[in-house]
Amino acid sequence: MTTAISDVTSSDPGPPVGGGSADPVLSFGSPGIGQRIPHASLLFGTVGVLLLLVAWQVCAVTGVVDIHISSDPTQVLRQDIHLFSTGAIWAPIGTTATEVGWALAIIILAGIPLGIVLGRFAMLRQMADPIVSILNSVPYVLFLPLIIFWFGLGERSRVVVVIWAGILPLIINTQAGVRNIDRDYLRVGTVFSVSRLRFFTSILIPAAMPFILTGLRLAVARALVGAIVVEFFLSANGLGYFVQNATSNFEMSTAMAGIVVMAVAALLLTRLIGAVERRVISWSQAQ
Amino acid sequence: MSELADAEAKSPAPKRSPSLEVEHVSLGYPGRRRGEQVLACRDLNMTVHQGEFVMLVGPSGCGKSTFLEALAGLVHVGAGEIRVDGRPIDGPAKDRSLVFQSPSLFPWRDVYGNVIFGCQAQGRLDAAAKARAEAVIKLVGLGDVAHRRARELSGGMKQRVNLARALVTEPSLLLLDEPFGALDAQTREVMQDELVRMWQGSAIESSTTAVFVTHDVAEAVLMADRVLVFSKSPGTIIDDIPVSLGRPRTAAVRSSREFMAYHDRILDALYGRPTYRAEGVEVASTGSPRSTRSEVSAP
Repeated sequence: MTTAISDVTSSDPGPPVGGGSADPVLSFGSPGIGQRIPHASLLFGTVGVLLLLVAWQVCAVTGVVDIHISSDPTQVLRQDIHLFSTGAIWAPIGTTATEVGWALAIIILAGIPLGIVLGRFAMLRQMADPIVSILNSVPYVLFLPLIIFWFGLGERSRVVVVIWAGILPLIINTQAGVRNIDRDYLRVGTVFSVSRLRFFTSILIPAAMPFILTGLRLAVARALVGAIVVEFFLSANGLGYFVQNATSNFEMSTAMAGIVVMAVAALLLTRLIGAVERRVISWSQAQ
Repeated sequence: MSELADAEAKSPAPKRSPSLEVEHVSLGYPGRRRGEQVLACRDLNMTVHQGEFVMLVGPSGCGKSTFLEALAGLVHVGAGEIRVDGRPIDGPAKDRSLVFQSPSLFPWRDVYGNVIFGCQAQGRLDAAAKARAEAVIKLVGLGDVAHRRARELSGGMKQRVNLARALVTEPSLLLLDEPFGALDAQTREVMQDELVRMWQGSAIESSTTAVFVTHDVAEAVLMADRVLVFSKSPGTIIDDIPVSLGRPRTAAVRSSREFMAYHDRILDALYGRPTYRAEGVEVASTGSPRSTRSEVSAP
């Protein structure tokens, strides 16, 4: 039905549908401005952020917002320089980085094999499915008191929360990747009598890699949130605690400076995964 | 070695030992309903000699591809026995390789990586296999793109890789499942001529036996030492036509009168042969509800 309709519109030389430009074929030779400039997305992204900062500064200077509550970009920048030059920020960064690092290592080492096993064995998957979806949909913050009870008030508890926050998307995506493997790949493996081990290393894992990396991307994002949340609740150091503490003491510029550090770290991690994706699964990306 | 001498070696030689023996084989696959089995082919019998090129021709859905998959070891043999070089087959093995209907390449590997996959999977990727892979890649005309990713190739190039991957393992039984069926007409003809050329030359061991499934009658005549014609579903062999066109065959053979005669003969066997027509009438007269149902259950 839909195809019939689109056939009519495409063969009908009437007004273009959806307000777009005339014929999509004509746009082939003339890419938009976003495609003509090298590194356009990076450039325009920076421009967007700068516009927001200018607006913030203007609002603060003109008194539209109260500078004591909102701070302003120049003060935040000054505070960031101060924090780094005195070295006061390194301890919180170190704490959070250690937590997230441990948690991500465990997430990768446990999440990918778990996802593969659940993807390959239907019975195990059926057993695990309700548990996985409950753990994925119930906010993990709810379990925080229990985790403190089980693992104490120290770093161990914090790492457990970060793992809990991040591992599920990786398990779920890996499992989906393993289950969605192209039947043709399996047939090629079978015809050339591939061994079980080589089947895993040469077919299953490469084929599931796009899903695994998507899962990893989600896991990293969620793990960072988990780390901050857990530091709000049980910590005397780390970036989350640093920001919360600064806010409690009404040091808005310091709090904002901490947020900026966190934002940059998150951005760098996302870029890192993007680079890994471009290298490892360039074969699967749309042109 | 001259091409002519090669061609002689390739011509069907009854003295040679049978490479493939099929006895009373019936194949089925699970149907849509629970526990239901749909019969794909029934009571297949054939003997193929070493070095012979056999084409299986039949209407679509007649079970010829299922039969080829059974030869490759992908489909369980429900009844009867298939022997390769005297040994009953039990699943896939190193002595057979399949050229798939769709290219089925691994997109994360380049052309070379895909071509060596068979040897690698079978744990015999030695220096000789690597050299052979390089030679075969050149032979199928992909020397310039050996390190391109699979997704960067055209449909015809992908099928060349598919073919090369099967050839590198040096199978004694080479199975081809409509490998050119999805190509455009021009590419298909080029590929057919190239395969014929490779078969007649020293590119493929003269002891290799080939079974090629197609629904293209001209393709069958061009390639075959022998054409086996399948009936409609559930398929069985209704005619066995030796093709004695001389080798080496060139593209010019396509327009010869002999070629057309074989072509017509196979078409007759497929659609209009008296015995076949009589069988069809018989089925229809036994009662329309039954024949309708069997039509519906056919894939």
